[in-house]
Amino acid sequence: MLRKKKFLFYLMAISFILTIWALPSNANYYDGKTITILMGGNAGSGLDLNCRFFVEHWEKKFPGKTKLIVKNMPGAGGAKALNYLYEKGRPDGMVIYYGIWNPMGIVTGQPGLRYKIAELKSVGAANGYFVSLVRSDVSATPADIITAEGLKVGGINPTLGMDNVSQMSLDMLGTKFRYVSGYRGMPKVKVALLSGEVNFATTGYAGYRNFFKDTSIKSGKLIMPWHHPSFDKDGNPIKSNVFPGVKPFVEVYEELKGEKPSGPLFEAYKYVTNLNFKMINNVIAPPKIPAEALADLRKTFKATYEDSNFQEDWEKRYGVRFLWIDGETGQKLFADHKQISPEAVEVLKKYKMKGIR
Amino acid sequence: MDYSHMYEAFINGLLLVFAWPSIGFLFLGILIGIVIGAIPGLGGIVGLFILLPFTYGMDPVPAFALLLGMFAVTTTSDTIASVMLGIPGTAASQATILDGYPMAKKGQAGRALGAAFSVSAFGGVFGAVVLALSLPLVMPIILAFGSPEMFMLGVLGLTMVGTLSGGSILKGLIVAMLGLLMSTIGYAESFAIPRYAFGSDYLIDGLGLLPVVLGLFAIPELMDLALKNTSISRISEDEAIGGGLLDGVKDAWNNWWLVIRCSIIGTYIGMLPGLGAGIVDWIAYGHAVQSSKDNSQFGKGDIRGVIAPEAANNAIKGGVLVPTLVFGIPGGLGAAILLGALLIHGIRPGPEMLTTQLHITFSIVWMIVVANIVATGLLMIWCKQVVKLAFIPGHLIVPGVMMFLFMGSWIESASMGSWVALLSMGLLGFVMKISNWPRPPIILAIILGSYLENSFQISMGTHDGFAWLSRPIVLVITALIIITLIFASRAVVKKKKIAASRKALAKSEGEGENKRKPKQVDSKPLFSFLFAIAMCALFIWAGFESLKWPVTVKMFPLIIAIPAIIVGLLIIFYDTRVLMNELKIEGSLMAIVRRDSKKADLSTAFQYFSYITGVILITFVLGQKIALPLFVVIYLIRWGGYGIRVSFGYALVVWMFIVGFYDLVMHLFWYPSWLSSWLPSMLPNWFPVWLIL
Repeated sequence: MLRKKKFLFYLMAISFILTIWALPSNANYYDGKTITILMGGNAGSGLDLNCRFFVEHWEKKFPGKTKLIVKNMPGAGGAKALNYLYEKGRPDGMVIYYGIWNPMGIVTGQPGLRYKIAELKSVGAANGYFVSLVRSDVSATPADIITAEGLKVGGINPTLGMDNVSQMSLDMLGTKFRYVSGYRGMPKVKVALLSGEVNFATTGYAGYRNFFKDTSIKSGKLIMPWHHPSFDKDGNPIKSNVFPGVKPFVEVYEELKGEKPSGPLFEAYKYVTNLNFKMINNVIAPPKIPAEALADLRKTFKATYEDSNFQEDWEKRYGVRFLWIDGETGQKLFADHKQISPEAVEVLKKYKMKGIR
Repeated sequence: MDYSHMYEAFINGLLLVFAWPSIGFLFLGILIGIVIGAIPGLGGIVGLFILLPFTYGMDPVPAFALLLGMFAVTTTSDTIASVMLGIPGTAASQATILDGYPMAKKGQAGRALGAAFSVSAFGGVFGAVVLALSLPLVMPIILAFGSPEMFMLGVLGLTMVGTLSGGSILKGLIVAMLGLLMSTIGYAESFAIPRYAFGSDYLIDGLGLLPVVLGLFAIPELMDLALKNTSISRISEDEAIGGGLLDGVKDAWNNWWLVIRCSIIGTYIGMLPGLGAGIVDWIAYGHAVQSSKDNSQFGKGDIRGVIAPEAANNAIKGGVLVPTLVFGIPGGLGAAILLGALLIHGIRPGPEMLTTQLHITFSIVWMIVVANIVATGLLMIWCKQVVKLAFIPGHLIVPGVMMFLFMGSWIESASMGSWVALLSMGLLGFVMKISNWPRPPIILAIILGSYLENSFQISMGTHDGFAWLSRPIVLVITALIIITLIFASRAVVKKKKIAASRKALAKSEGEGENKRKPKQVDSKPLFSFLFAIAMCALFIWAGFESLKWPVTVKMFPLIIAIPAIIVGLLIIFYDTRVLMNELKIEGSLMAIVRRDSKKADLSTAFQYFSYITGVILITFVLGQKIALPLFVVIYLIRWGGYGIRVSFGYALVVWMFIVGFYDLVMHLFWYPSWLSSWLPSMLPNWFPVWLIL
C-alpha cells in the first residue's frame, strides 16, 4: 500500500513537472531577459535619438519584465552593425538592430555590405520624409528651376538616397546643374545655401525642422519646390501634410511636362523612395532568430506604434507622425529589394559614382 | 534695438538660472563635467550623450542647466590630463601639452593648472559675453567663410602646428602630411570607394581620432613611466619650488593682454562651423609664439604656451552656441546635440531667440558664465590634490590610465580595430619619440584632413577650378601662412646660429679636453634616418596605390604624397649628413646602432608593447571585463613588484569602474569573446553574466 502511495506520489510529481515543462508557454519569450539593440548610428545623432525614444515606449509593451538596452555601433552607414548581426549576431534574438539599411548600395555592389538583407528579419520600420530646397533668388516657382542658370546642388555624399533623388528629380526635368557633395551635415549645407555657394539641396524631415523651417524658410530665403514621398501599391505618391503646401515631385513633373514620369531614371527614383525612404528607422533581427521571439518582437513593435499615447508623444517631440510598417510588410520589402531592372541599376550606379561633376 | 527689453531679458535670464531647481542642476552638471573632462577619452560629447536621456522629462531651463553646466566645463578640466599625463584630454587641448607636460615634469603642475584654470574661466566668460554683444556680426562672418576660406584656414592651422611643434620645419610638415594621408583612410567623400582600408571593416569607416590621439601621445608617455618607474614630476615634491597654484594665477594676470587676444581668437574662429574646436588652440598657440620677443622656452615649459590655448579653447563654447540658437547653425557636434535637445524641449532656433525668447538666450549665456566661474573655483580648491598625482610612483599610474586609454578608444566604434589602431599608433608614437620627430601635427592633420579634402573639392566644384584663390579673405589667410613660414624659418636660422656660436665657444674652451662629446647628441640620428626612409616609402606606395582610383578620389592623396616625397628626400639628405658626422665620431655603424638602441631601451619597450598586445589577445578569449583587470594584476605584480593585496585591490577598482560606468551608465557594446559564446548558456539564469562578460 505504502509502495503504491509512494509510486503514485512520484508519478504525480513527475507528471506535474513534465506538464509544466511541456505546457505551451503563454509567457513572453523575452520575459525576464535583456535585449541589446545595436544602434547603427552615432550616439546623439538624429537616428540615435529616434531609437532611444522609441525603445523607451517599446519596453513597456513587453508583458513581464523585459529590459531593452541601446548600444551604439556606428560605422559605414549602419553596415558595420548589420554585418555583425548577420555574421556574428547571437541567434537567440537577444541582439537586434536599429538603423538604416542600404538597398541602393546592395544592388549596385557597394563594397563592405556583406549582410544578406533577405535573410535578416524585419521587425518593423518607420519612414522618413524628404524635401528639396532652392534659393528664392534662383527660383521663385518650381517652373523656374528648369531654366535656372548655374544651378549648384549641394549634398553630403553620393551614397545617400536624398542626394540621389535631389539629382534624379532635376535630371528628369532636364535641368542643367552641377552636383557638389562633401558637406558635413545639414548645418554646412545650410551655410552653403545661404552664402550662395550652392543653391539647391534636399534634406530629411529632421534637417528641415532643425535647420530650415523657422529660419531660412520662414524668412523666405529658401523655398521648397517639391518633396519626395514613397509610393503606394498603385504607384501613387503617399499623401502627407508634413511639408504644408508642397507638392510631391511627380505631381510637379506632371504639371510642368504634361505627362507622368517614366523610364529607368524614374524607376530608380521610385526604388530609392520606396525602399530607402520608406524604411529609414528599421528594427532588424538576426537570420536564425526563433520564430516565437520574432513573433513577440513584431507584436510588441506594432503595439507600440499603434498606441495613440506613443503617437502623440512622438508628434510632440518631432512635430510629425511617421508612417510605420509592420514586420511582415518590412520582410516583403526586404525580399523585393532585387526587383529592379538592370537599366535602373545602371542609373543608380551612375549617381553613386558621381561625386562632383 | 529696445534696450529696456534687452535689460529686462538680461535680468530675467539671470533669474531663470538662479531659480530652483535650475541652479541645482547647473551645479550637478558642473560636477559631472569636471569628472568627464578629466578622464582621457571622454569629453563634452560623451557627457551630452549620457545626460540627454535624463533631461527628457525635465522643464527646459533645468534641463539646459544640467547639459550646459557639464558641456561648458569639460574644456577646463581636460587640462588635467594634458598637463599631468601629456595626453590631450580632448581635441581642443592638444596644444596645451606642448608646454603643460614639461612643466609637470619640472614639478610645476600646480602653476600650469592654476594659470590654465584662471584663463579658462576668463575665456569662457569672455566668449559668452562677446558673442552675445556682437550678434549682428555673427551671420556675416559665418557667411563670409565659405569652403575656400575654410580650406585656407585649415592650411593655416596645419602650417602653424607643422612649424611650431618641433625643431625641424621639414619634419613638422611631413608629419602633418602623414596625418593628412591617414585622414584619407576609408570611404572617399565623393565616391563609395574605400581608400587604404585593406578590406578591414574598421578602416573602411576611417581611422578613429581617439585611438590615434591616445596611442600617439599617451602610450609612449606611459611607457616612460613604466620603464623608469619615476613619478610624472622628475623632481620630488619638496624640491618643487615656484610651481604653486597662485604662481599660475599670477602668470595669468601678468599675461592679461595675451589672454584677451587669445580669447578673441577662440571666440571668433570657434564659431566657424566644423573647423573651430580642432584648430583654435593651435592658432592661439602659434600667435603666442610669434608675438613673443623671447620664444626660446616654448615647448620646454613656457607658461604662455599653456595660457594661450586654454584661453582660446574655452572661449569657443560661447562662440558656438549663439549662432546655434539664433541661426540654427551649430558650430560643432556638441552644439548640434544641444540644438537637438533644444528642439526636444520645444525651443526653436530663430530670430525669436533675439526677441520674444531673448531671456532664454541670456539664460544660456549666464549658464556658461556661471559654469566657468564655479568650475574654476572648484578646480582651484581641488588642484592641490590633483597635483599630487604628479608625485605618485609611475607604476601606480600606468594600469589605471591604460584602462582609460583602452576604453576611450573603444567608445568611438566598439570595434577591436580601435584597439589594434591604439597599439599601432602607440608604436608609431614611440618610434617618433625616439627619433625626435614631432607628433602634434598628425593629430590636427587627421582632424582637418577630410575637412580640407571636402572644402578643396567643393571650392574647385563651385568656383570652376582655382578662381577661389583670388577671394579677398583667401588672400589674407594666404599672407598669414607666408608670414608664419617666414617667422618659422627665421627662428630656425636664429636657433642654428646660436647653436653654432655655442659650439664654437665650447670648442675654444675645451679644446683637447673633450673632443668626443656624444652626450651632447640628444637625438638618435639612426632612427630618424630610418624613419625618414620609411615615410618616403610609405608616401611612394600611397601615391602609386591611389593611381587606380577616379580623379576626385585620388586627387587629395596625390596632392599630399608628391610634396611629401620631396620633403622626405630632403630629410633623408639632411639626416644622412648628420649620420655621416656621427659615423666619424663613433667609428662604425654598428656602434651607432648599439648606442641608439641602448638609449631607446628597445628591449624593455618590446616587453611593454607585449603587455598591450596581451590585453588585446586575452580580450579575444575572455572579454574586456576580465582582460583589463587581469592586466592590472599582472602588471603590478610582475613589473611593478607590488604585493597581491595592492594588485588585486587596484584591479577590483578598475573592474568596478568598467562595469559601473562603461557598462551600466554608458551601455557600451562589449567585444563578443570566445568565452561569451558558450559560458552564459552554462550558467544558471539568476547569475548576472554582465558582471564578467
